[in-house]
Amino acid sequence: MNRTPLHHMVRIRRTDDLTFVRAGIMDEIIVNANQLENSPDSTATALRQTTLPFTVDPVLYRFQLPQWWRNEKGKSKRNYARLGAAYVKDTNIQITAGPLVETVPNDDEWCILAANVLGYQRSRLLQMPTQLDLLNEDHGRELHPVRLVAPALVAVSATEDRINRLLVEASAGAAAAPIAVPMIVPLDRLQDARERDRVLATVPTDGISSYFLWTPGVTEELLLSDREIFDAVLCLIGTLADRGIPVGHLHGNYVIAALHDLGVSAVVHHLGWIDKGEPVEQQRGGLRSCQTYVPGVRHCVRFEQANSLGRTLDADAYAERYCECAFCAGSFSAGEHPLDLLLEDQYVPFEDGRGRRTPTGRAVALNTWHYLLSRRLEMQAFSNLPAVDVIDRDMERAAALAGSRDTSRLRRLATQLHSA
Amino acid sequence: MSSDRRDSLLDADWSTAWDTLPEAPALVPRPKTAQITLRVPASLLARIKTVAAARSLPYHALARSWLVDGLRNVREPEPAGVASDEPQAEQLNIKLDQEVLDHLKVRANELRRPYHRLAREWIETALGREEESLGIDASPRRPPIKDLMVLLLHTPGKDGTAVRGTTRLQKLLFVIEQKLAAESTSFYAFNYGPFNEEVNDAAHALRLAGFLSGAEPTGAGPPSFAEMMATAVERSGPRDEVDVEEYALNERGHAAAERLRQSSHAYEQLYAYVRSLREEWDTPDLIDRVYETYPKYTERSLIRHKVTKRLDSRRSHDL
Repeated sequence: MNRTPLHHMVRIRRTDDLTFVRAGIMDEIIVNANQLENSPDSTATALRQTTLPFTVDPVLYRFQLPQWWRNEKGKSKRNYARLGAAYVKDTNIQITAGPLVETVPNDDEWCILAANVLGYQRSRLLQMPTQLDLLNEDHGRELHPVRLVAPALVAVSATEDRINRLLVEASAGAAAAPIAVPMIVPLDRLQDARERDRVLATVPTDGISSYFLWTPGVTEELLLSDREIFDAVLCLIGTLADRGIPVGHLHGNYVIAALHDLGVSAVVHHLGWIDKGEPVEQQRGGLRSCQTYVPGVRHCVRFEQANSLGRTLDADAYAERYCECAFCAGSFSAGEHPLDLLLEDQYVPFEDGRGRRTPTGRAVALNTWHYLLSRRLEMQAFSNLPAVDVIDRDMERAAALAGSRDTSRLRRLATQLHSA
Repeated sequence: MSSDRRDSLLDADWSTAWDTLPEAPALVPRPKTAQITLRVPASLLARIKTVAAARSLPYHALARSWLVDGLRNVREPEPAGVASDEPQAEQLNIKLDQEVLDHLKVRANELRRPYHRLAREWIETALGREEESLGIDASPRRPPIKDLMVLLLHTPGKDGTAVRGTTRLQKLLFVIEQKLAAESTSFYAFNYGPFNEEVNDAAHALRLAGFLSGAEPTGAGPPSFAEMMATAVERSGPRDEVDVEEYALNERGHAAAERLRQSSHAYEQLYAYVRSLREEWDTPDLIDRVYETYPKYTERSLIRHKVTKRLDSRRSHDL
């Protein structure tokens, strides 16, 4: 039987991510609009270098509360100020003055805002070529997004539900073509069946090409350990998929990809391998934690644990139990154990005399490739085989690598899928 | 046929009847569509693309519509505008009905102009009108930071063309921008004096495009192990290995810079100016001179006192 492939989309959140944009290891790129405003030239260059389709995520929700877009000193970041200015062109909205729902005076202004957000997605990258680019023989394609995304707010209450509906309808009108609609459901409403129904009831079906779900704060561990939350996410996906419109997940992981047979058509993930449940606010920088993704157990672990799991394995055993990605295989072929490269760290002293260990810059780059390639293999597995077969195979592998703890984690997922 | 009959036919005046005869069919059927290829300056093509984007139309189709509009209109196009001194380095292919092309040639003949030139002038005239109606400012602006950076890295410094360190690159581009268009500067006061995130963005873009030393253009397919390792080598290992980043064009980068320099008289002049500024400013005491000349941009600097102290000590030494 022919199975529909699971569409694999990679989110670009920071300039560093652009290095990893390559055809063949992802199906599509989704660029955060704040990142596009942060480094428009390098983003445009990276997109022109590939044939990959791309989408711009307008991230309007970041303007919902000041703490979601301001920096640690309480100031608006320059890229957000520029993005906000583009969104409120020809309106009276003072977008960075306070919470968005308080700064937009009426429905007409919400509609202009929606049209501006769509205009931004259409034209921002077309403004980029300089004389140097135009003279370059390899200048490449014009940058038109493959789909337009309606702006959306986190559906905190009925107020946001009403605005979201207005934004979708105004966007569909402005786009003159079917649009993608994000649906951002916070944890408290996700857990309440009546609230879930209310959110679903306000999401229209006309003029929509796809839905993209996101449940901020819901980690993979939470999905696996809390049956109610798992069922709630499944309910949202199932209800939307039953409308005959493809459903994607804006911050997917292994568990979300496993829901391919139950209605998930596309998974978006960023290039960070530590699962934080994807909170809404802009993530602050800081030293990275010494963790690496272990495909053999389908989650990330600390460097010491990864070392004890995989460092003694030879190339064949490593590929069978730990990881079969092209980076790890290439590393063995080059005569180097991949964990010697992936687990390189350093001690960083702080001014107060304390300090901590953090991965080196090059270990971060290599972990990113390893994570991206591993995710790609997961997407391909769920595209080619029923989820339960993939999980059965992964359970065997996890048992061989790490024993019962990780097997039971995967078994919980298999059980939940069987009973779904 | 009798000889009388033949003679009468030969003697008859057939000129009126000849004019009423239908056109003979073409020996080879003419194609219904044709293509006209116009050579245009790069800046003109960029303007067409900007208007097309604003109108959400493909730029070829938009240019065709302007051309057809020009044919319908009896007015002559205005003479070539701002881009007239630029070399026509770009190509604009426009598909037309054969009849439209014929019409264009007839009209060009009437106006005694080459038909390619007439088409280009019609397009440029319509473009100006559209820009005005859309409120697009087509007047020449401050050159983009990326173009300035490429020209800077193409000019010879005291130790070759490379610039060592992000701070030095920032400061050199700051000085260039101040000299070119101080009123529209995008630099602002930051931790180490004048700063502009566009500089870092442009440097990253040049690296991704494969124009900087050590960078290769991104491959089309999945990365090889060697390519993945190359991305790691660019980054730091343990802290004691941290090195000052060096910005230098590679062969492709220099070729691109040279194309840019030669693309117009204005860029030739700009290159010469950037070169003279580099000769003047790319000295070991660049930072001190920037702090001294542009104090407004050092207000938030974390090293302001250190630099001021250094400057004071130098002044007292000079005395």
